Amino acid sequence: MSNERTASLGRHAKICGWVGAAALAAGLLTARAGTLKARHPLPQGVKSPVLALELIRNPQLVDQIARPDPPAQAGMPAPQPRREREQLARAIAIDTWAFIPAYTTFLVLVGWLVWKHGPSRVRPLGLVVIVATLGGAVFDLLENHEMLALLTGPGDPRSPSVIKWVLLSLAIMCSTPVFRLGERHLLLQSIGYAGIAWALWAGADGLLGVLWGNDQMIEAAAGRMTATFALAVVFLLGLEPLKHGVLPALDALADRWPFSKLATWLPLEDKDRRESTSSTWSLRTD
Amino acid sequence: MGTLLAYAYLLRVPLLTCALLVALPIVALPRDAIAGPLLRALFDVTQPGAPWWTGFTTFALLTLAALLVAAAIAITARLILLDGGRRFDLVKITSRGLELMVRLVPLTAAAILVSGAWIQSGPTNLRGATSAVLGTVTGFVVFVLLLTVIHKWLWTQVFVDEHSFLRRLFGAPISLWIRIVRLTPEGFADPRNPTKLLARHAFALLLFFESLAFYIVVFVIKSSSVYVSGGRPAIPTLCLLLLIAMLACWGLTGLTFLFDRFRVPLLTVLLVYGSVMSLFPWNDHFFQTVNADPRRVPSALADDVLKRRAGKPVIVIAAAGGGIQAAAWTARVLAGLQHDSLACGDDFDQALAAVSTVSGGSVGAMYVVDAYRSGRLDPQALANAVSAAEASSLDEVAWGLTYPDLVWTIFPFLKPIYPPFLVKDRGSALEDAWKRSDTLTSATLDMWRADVRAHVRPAVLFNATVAESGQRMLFSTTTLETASTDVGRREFVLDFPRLDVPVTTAVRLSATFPYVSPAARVNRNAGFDEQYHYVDGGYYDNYGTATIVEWLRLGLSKLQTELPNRVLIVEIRSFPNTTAAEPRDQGGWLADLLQPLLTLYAVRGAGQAAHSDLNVSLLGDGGSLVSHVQITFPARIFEDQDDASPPLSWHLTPRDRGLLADAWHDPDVFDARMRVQKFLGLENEQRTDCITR
Repeated sequence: MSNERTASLGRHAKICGWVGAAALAAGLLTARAGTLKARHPLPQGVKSPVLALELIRNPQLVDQIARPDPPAQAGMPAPQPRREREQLARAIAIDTWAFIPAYTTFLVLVGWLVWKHGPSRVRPLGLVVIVATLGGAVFDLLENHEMLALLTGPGDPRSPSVIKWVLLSLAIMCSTPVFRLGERHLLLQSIGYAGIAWALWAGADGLLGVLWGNDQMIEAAAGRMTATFALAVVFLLGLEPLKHGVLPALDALADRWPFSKLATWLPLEDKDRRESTSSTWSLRTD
Repeated sequence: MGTLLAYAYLLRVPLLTCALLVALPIVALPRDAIAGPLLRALFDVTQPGAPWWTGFTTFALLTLAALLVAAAIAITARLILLDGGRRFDLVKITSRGLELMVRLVPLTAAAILVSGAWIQSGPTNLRGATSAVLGTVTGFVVFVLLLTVIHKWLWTQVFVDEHSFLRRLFGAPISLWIRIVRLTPEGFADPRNPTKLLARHAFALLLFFESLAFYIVVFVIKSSSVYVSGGRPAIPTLCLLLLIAMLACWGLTGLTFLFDRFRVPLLTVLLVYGSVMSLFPWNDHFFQTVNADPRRVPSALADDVLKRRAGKPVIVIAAAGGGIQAAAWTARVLAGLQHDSLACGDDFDQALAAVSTVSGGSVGAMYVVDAYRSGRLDPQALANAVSAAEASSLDEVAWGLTYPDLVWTIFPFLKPIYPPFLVKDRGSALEDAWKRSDTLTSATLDMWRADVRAHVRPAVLFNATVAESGQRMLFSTTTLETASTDVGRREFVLDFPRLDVPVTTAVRLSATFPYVSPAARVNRNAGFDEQYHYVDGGYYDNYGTATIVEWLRLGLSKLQTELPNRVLIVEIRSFPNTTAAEPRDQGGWLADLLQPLLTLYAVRGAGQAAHSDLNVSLLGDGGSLVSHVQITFPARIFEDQDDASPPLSWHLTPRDRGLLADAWHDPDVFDARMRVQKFLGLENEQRTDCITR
């Protein structure tokens, strides 16, 4: 690979990596907002209330996901309101305005990286990633619209949700060539292989979960997609600095302020006193 | 790749220590964290309302301890990286980047750990925040001074000034170390002059001495620690655990550096040392006993105790185990029932005939029974009993682990130098922490036995388990007249007729929570005899019902006349009644391997609960005068909480205390309270509104 192409890949990977980091942050924010204060059993055995809501099979189960406020009891202090519906609505809003745009941008950039820098035989996969991601994002928005409707009245988020999971699973599986880009030493290569394994596992879980109607598998796929995102971010951000291996990268880091100070801060030996030490307690046995 | 793996192996001790610093807050703090109920208390280092200086010293010591662990990791790792090549015949890998990493990674790990304490303890006001900030800054400044100014001064004193006191003080251990190094100097000696010791090893040795000095300083501070409201000492448990991690990092890395050259695994070294040390008879845990008064009062029989309530109602208690949650819930329930009883004009305290308790339940019951004065529960002492049962004892356990237990594990032959050392361990530290009233400081089972005879205190039956035989061991002030042919039960007073035990010791043996306090044996002949070891009563029956049912059956069957007119068994359970566990998706060889153990554990829980219920219901069958009430910590309390796990250690966070207070007002608990008061005052049907929620 020519130096110019390597440099270009490094620049593009860096941009893509930072967008991925932003997508991860938005994802964490959404997950945090959607985590209800008290855990309770959810339909289909899933653990995330947002996921339970988007994959809901019967609108009457909404109360099981976002529980109404507890009734007051005679002689007891008024119970704290749960406000679970409001909390889920807030999580959906964060998902709509932060996470969906962020992950869509990230996956589209990943697809573009595969198209631009991947070997010719895998380039079409880049296009599949872009198309599937854009389609998935549209259905994700539809799903959010239906979820908000369901919190206040009738709504059917499951239909768009299932299509979204199929498209995103496809996108994740087709994005695996991104983990084979650039020069890779041991660490990057290991991260790359882990990324490929996780992406394929996440995609397979997602597709089979939809096929078999198993919501727990879809939830597992969501977790593995997050792990794949994290591995992709580390891989892409590490592509340039780690291209010669870990030790040179650490050396380069140690030359930068403030790490240059830290690398010599608090001397871990006292070279000036070497002679005095050795003369006092010699290893000579005589 | 091979070199990398070799260095990863050689660096295993510093790497694992570093991983411990990072992993501790991760497995303890998030909601539903895997070890949250057990370890979250470690990070609850301050207490609301404690003096300003307590928060300051807590954060200063914690920060300093975390940074000293980081220094131990950094320096030991650096020695392996710089000198491992020569010592282990490997390619030397060194770079400026690695110099950065050996500093950055341990410092980050220490910062993560201290942040964990900040997150959990969360200073809520300006006063708390300033003490935490200033404490953290002070800890950092002291650390920097230790590694720079103080270290340079020490260097001059130990290595340069030939007539200094410190040189004479450290001369012997350094000479001993030099002798060992002379036997195998590779990696220690300067390659340019093999007769000279590399200065960095001397530097490390000196910092090891500084770490030891810090360990001793904390011992001195803790030994004279000032107790604040609620009985909280100033040295946090986390700080004490960090001291163990620091010493382990120094000691174990030293051993690996010495022995890895000869391909002798560290575990082999430890096993050999441990096996040799176990030859000393003192390498065991003993509990304190006192010689019984020759004129001791014999234990009251069950019928004697019941007879004093002839024609009147009798209440007996079975309090379940479960760490400090059980202690606090048991004390709160008993104190609450007495409060209800006073409001309704009844005599709960006088109706209370016997208490059979297990583990944490024994601790709570101990405080309540201790609050008896002349046959009645003293209101002030009872209020103090509830506070005492809720007070943390975790720091004492950590202190016992960090000091006596660590020293005796390494040097068990030092124990007999001073006979009281034999009974000093984390178990005795826990007992000392529980002596929160003047009366408990000196109370023994014989004293309480005499009180039972005099009808001024209810009988207690603290349940423990004999580790070797699996039998129940009763530390009691009443007797079940156990015969030698009884296979399921022993009584301490019958096994050792000439010995008496402090009440706190009996309770500690009943509450030998696995690993928190050790299995212990009676201290006779300085360990030169074979004795049973006693462990937590929860292994046999975590509900205390087996003993109380046997005791009641015995007592009621012997009484022909003078029977109480009715008997109520109050079962106190400190954890919500659990439903059967969900099926799990598990398979593979590991599941095959663990399955018998996991099944045993599951059967223990399900089997004990089922048998407890069956025992109590059988006793109440057939028109018997026995009925029962269960006062269980309500599951509803956890419904709207972030974390649905009650604490399992000897520490309650402010949130835990709040939940305990809320639980007393729960509708189900209220119904149970009503049933108890109705039982006491059956003759008076007008009494429905004397209890308030």
